[in-house]
Amino acid sequence: MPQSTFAADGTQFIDGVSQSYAPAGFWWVGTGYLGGSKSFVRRSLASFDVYGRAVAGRPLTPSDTVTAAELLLSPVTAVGPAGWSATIDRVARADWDYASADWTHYKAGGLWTTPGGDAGTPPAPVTMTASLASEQVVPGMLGFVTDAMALRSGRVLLRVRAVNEAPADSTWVSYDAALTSPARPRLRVTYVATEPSPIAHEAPPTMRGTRAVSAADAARPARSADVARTSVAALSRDEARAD
Amino acid sequence: MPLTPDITHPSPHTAVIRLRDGAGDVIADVTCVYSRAAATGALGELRVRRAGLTARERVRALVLLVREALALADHLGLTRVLTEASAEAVPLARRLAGSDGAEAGGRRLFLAELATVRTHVLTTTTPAGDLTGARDDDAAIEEAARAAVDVRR
Repeated sequence: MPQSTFAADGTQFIDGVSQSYAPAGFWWVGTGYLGGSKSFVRRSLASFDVYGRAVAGRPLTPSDTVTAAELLLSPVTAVGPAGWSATIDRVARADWDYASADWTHYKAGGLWTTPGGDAGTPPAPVTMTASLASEQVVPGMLGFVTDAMALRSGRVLLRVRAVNEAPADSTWVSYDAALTSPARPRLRVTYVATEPSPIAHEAPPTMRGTRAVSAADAARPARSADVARTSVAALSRDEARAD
Repeated sequence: MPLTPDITHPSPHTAVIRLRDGAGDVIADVTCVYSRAAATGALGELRVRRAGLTARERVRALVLLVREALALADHLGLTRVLTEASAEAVPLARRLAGSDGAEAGGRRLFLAELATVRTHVLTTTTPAGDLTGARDDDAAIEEAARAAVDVRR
């Protein structure tokens, strides 16, 4: 089955200790006890557009049937014990702005309802285990992609946070999230392409210049310009074959 | 004033380095966290605990903390080290790291191979904690050490 990969077009982390500290282009998840202003509790946010440009494959279309989706992450640093869990939620603020958001704001002048980012369902959150592998693959992201295609114009907005944000020991992982980096967070989507129904299949012309028009055809609403063009093209092809 | 390092491990992934004077009093300290599995360590906030030190003495204490932290990282088998520097601490961080770091929302993130940064520190500082060779940023480093390290924290 075909796959398309989409790279994040917005990334940042937000910090629950230094609450105005939220650099774009960085991902950091977990807790650090490093003294004074260097202690932190960090969550990471990202956006993807599955109808937009793909770094591999093609943009999805609303008629595609998505069968699987994975989040691909490239860890940079990790500290503390291994094997801890993080939760991936959908960011509930469609106009989250990675360039101005922080722990308390989802954009300049706009406050999160809950500091640390508003999460929404559907889809159901996904749990991942922090890994130190050079590339971490997080399966189970199908719900996020289908939700985005059905309800959010293809925009997938994610928040990642540690399940335990008050561990006994410093525990974090940071990821490559620079918006110019090919290793920034990516969504890999597997889908079944559903070709638009050619008009010719509805009522293939059997003779040049003739076409049966049923009562159902006559009652059908006007087609869009694109479909009309497809129809003309299909007829032209048929005509060429007949020639 | 000779300073002696004292290292404790309050948890499996945390080390605290303290510099003590001849009487055993803590002059400065830093918390380091690490993962041996990931071969990575992070340097926390450098703190001067003793009031009344000159700026030069403060810088010496900070440099010694960094030297001890890098030695510890080597002892633990770590290969990469990182720290975040606030705007005030950037001159010292740049000097010790030997690099500019990466801009990160008003702070700078320094991530380096341990061997590279430790070699740089050992060749640009003395065992007593002095920076070798006068540089244009010496005054900024001393001023930052005077202003940024708050003994009350």
